[in-house]
Amino acid sequence: MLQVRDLKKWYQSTIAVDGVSFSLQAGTICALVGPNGAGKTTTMRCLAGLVAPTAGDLVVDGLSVTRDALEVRKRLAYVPDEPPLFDDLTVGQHLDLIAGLYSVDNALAKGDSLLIQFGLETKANALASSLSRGMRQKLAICCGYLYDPKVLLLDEPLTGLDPPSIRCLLDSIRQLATQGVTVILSSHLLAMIENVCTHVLVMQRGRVEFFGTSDELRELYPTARTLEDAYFAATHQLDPIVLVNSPGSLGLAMPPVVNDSVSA
Amino acid sequence: MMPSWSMVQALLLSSYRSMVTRMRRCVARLLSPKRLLATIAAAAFMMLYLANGLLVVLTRKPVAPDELTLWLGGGMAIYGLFHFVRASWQEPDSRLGLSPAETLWISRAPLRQRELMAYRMASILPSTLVKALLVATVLYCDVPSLACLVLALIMAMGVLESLRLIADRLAASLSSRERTLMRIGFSTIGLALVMQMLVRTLVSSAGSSHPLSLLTAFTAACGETAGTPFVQWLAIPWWPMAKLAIAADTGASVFAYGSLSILVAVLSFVVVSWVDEWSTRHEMICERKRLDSPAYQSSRATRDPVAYQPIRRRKTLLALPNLRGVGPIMARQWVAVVRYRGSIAASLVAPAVLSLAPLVTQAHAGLLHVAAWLAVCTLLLAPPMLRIDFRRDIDRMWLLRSLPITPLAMMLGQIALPSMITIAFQLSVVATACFVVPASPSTIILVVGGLSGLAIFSFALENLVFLTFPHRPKQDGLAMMVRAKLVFLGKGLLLACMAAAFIVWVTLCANASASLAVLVGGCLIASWASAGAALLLATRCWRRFDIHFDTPFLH
Repeated sequence: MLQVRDLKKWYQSTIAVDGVSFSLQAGTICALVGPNGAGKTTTMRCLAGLVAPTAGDLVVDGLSVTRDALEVRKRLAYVPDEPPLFDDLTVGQHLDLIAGLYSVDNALAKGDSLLIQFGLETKANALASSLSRGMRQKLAICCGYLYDPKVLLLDEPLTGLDPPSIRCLLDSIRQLATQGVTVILSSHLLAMIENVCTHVLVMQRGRVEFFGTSDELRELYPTARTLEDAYFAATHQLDPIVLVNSPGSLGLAMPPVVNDSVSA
Repeated sequence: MMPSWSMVQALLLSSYRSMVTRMRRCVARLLSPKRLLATIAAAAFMMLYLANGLLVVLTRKPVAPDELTLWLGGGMAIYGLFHFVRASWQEPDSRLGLSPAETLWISRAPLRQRELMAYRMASILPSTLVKALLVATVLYCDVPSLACLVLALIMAMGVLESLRLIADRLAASLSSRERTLMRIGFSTIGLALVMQMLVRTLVSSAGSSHPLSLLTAFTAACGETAGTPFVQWLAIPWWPMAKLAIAADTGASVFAYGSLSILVAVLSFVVVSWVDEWSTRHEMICERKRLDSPAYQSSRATRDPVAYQPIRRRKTLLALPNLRGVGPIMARQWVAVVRYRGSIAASLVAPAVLSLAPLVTQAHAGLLHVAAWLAVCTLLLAPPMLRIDFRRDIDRMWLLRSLPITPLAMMLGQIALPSMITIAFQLSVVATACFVVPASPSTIILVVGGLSGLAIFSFALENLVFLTFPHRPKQDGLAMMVRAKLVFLGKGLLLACMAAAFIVWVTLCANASASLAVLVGGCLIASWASAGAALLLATRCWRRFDIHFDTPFLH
């Protein structure tokens, strides 16, 4: 469903993404994790077609992101961190706009159902400018869900959401995956996403430090009990708590593994 | 493949809804109790301005059709050139003027590039229409057919807007070396035209430094420059529109020029699409060249990332004394001054020439003549040229409000640096003038003291007006045009009142045989009292600024 081959992206004098490769099949949920400035958002923006890659091939559902941009856009939804919204449109009007742009059938019912699902039904007529940070995030997610994309890119979607909304979002992601949607989920809240994701992509300094299934990650770092432990190990960052509990057993000297052809 | 009807419908509907919401919000803000007085004053002033404008339009002599043709085309070409100069100097914007929300939700929607361009052009259509109607009102007595004039103006402004998009997109895609070349090229042409206008103004004003005669001479000089062969070559795209504007209602010429105008307008739209596509490709070529750089290649070999070497901190904020929070705000402003030092210095050249011109053009001109022009520049030109005020922080108003400093300290911090720059500029011009025409110490004290008070008044007033009727830095459209005109004319009126008050005071002092100290002291007290009052009023406006209600929407 989604293939990234040797993706590179330069910003002025900085290379933000440097040779990233991975592939995901339909119905997988991939956690995209890494420290700030690792290149996660740039990778997502390249996939979303918002930023042109300097080099590399990006393929979504058999279509090139650069050559078949229009068709890819219909199949892919991207919800950025702190999504920009139209301050002068209401919540309902945002859904109308997206429904029109993506020619969504039965848009009204679908939109209403999403608003109810994410607890925005009472805000349907409120201006986007009057929404709280979490509500703006939920509205952007609703807009992304509205046209039934085959690939969903969520950049820090949990930030600003209340606990019920986080649960609702994670449940909805699982449900979409069972319907064959491929999801890439970038987040720093590792404890919250570890039970949802089938795959993990760890990035650091623009490069892939690890890519594989959650089980492969556990095999690689056997003493790591959580995704967070494995994250620290994969990014070579010493977590004092883990070190105290498991002295000398993290395998920090192990070379990073890049597996770019894992299938679900 | 045509865009589906649902897409067009959704875009049109959302644009319409957006416009309605903005208008409602604008009316609600204008009528809010805290700015009702300001709104009434602005409305009254606008009525006066419109009445005066109508009177001028109804009583003036019609312009010869040939001259009008030259001016229309030449004026548009000069404006187009200005867009290129501006684009070469400003921050690159490769989003074709789209807001972040439009970039995410509309440019990422399954729309083709030319459909996106059509959306962009359609979104500026209402303001273009109103602008064309306004210009048509001014020019209607010069042409045989109002309908032809309006049509010609709409298409001419559409072409101009296309040119603006082309300039912005082109500038954003260039490498730094190419951008430098673009700056040098277009700025040289622009400077040559400005020099032509200034020389023509000086020649036709025949040594007079009276503001009205200078203004008349400058307007005529602009017209003459617009009619020069070089500008007319640049104005070729607007030639059919200029001809259509002076055409009569019927006849083959209307059809011919109308068809040609439509063709040019459509072609300009196609050129924008081409330029956008070319710019995207060019940006990518520049980016890919970096992959061949030796630094990157060696980093690939050693797996040592080039861009992540620990970097020693080079830039620190200017260390100023805290002064209850004024210092850090000034230090933050200083960063903007350092960053734009080139354009700030360049923008001060024209006011300096303008202020010192009376010494060259008039045999008996003295320091007071220079001071009069300095006052005009300080009040009318300095704030829009420096642009160091709250408008830079319109998206960070919450942050500013949350800072642990008083509203007065905030206002002082905002206006201190631009005022100091303006005062330094005034001092350098006064020093130059004194070198040419010696002046008495009392005159120098009067000029320097009075003008420095005016500098503070000017920036306090700018912030006051901004906080009362805020806008976004790159906002355009009809509302901005009306706002800019009203503010400019309001300041001009204020300047006239100040000059009148000065004359009255001098006459009173002369009649009462008051000493020179009383005359100078009175002027200085008036100048600094006005500055203080404006500062306090601006502070009040900042205190009452409702961030949720008053912050303008992103365009």
